[in-house]
Amino acid sequence: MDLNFEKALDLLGPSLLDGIGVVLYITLVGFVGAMILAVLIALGRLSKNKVLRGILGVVIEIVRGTPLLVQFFYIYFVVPALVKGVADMMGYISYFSLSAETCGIIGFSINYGCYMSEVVRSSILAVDPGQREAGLALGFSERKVMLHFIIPPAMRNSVPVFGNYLVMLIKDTSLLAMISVQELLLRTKTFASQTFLTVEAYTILALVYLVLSIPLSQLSRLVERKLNKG
Amino acid sequence: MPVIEIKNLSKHFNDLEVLQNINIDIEKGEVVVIIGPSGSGKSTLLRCINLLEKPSGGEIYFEGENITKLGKKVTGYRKKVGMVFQRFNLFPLKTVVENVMFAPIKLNKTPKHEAKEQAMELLKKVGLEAKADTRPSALSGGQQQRVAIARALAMNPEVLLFDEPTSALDPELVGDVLEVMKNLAKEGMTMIVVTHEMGFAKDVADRVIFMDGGYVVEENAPQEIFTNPKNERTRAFLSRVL
Repeated sequence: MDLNFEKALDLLGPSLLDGIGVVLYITLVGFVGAMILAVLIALGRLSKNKVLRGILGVVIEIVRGTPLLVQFFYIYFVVPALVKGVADMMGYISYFSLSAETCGIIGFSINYGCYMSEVVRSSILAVDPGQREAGLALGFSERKVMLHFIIPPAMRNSVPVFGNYLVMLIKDTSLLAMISVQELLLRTKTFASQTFLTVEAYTILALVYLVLSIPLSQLSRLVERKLNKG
Repeated sequence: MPVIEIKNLSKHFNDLEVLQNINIDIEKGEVVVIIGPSGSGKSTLLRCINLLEKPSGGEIYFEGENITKLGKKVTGYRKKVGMVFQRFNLFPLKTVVENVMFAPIKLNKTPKHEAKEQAMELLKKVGLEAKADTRPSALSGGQQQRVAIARALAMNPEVLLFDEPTSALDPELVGDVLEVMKNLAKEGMTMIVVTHEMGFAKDVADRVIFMDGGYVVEENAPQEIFTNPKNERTRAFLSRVL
């Protein structure tokens, strides 16, 4: 077998570097969105409002019971079509569309937000009830107690699990190739089909993912150790 | 007028009657110690006073105002009634001085430097100014409890509630906490203390209340109750703990 990694790297490298930018951008924004959504969903699921709890329970079941890839397709193809349909019905002309990257960010926020909300919820429940009582006894309202004394330690206890989700998310960006986001897999696939440097291209791709994810998991382990030390 | 008037207070958890027909007046500057066997309702009574537990019946008046009807305004009342817990309940992510200054900054809008100055003074008072920048987890139980007292004092409460403040401490650490409490009593702080420390009750209390089975069985000056208990149950309890 004749392998030419040098050529593959020369030609594919710059394109992959651009792709890394796309991947990091979507990962970062999507993950921040997921964290915010996770806290909001967790608070909603712990609220006294039965209707809200019920709705969120159903949403979480739907999100966890369908594949992430299907969700991306749904956001990318179905949501704009639905918006257009509704607009047509009401007699408006709709120019609504979502870029593939935006769909990716929305999809990650919702999907990972739902999974991570369960982490946040159990962390909130794990905070010593004495913290709440101490806050209340000082004169803080329930809401402020949550904000100042429950959520911070709960988030801190969630960090190790969040780290795992972050590593999973960066790898899951490869799914976005299917909705035409110019991320790493799509660039590699295009390159391989044009040059037939298949082995070289996909090997390089795998290595790039490793280079992205290993430092991230190391970082989350470091943060975890730092936090445990207090 | 008493600072706190408890009238016909009752509390039940489902079928379990925890407090029944409690009537107590607390005068300003008074140190009231509540003693009694476990499960007698002492802690529940204390928790009802600052509404961590919602009373099932009866009223509690604070400076003449019925606090069981406060609704959302309960936060304003709780600022005036500090509480010290058995398990300290310090905020673990904050340093010692932050624990003390946090509530005044957030709730009274005290400027940060002022709150810090005040917090340092309070820490000095409880003998822990050297520990200001450490985390609570690095302190002994007795030190944590003294920080908790400083934290409660930072809101300038009218009344301080102590819920078995020394029960979670190693015996040799109890003395420092009791010393701080004695000093507070001397300064005229109104205190309601649930404790098993009979020595503290004898030395510091103006009045001792003995509870059993959810009732106030007997209340009297400490010398009376300890040397000459009127009630059979009080006598039986004291003979076991003294």
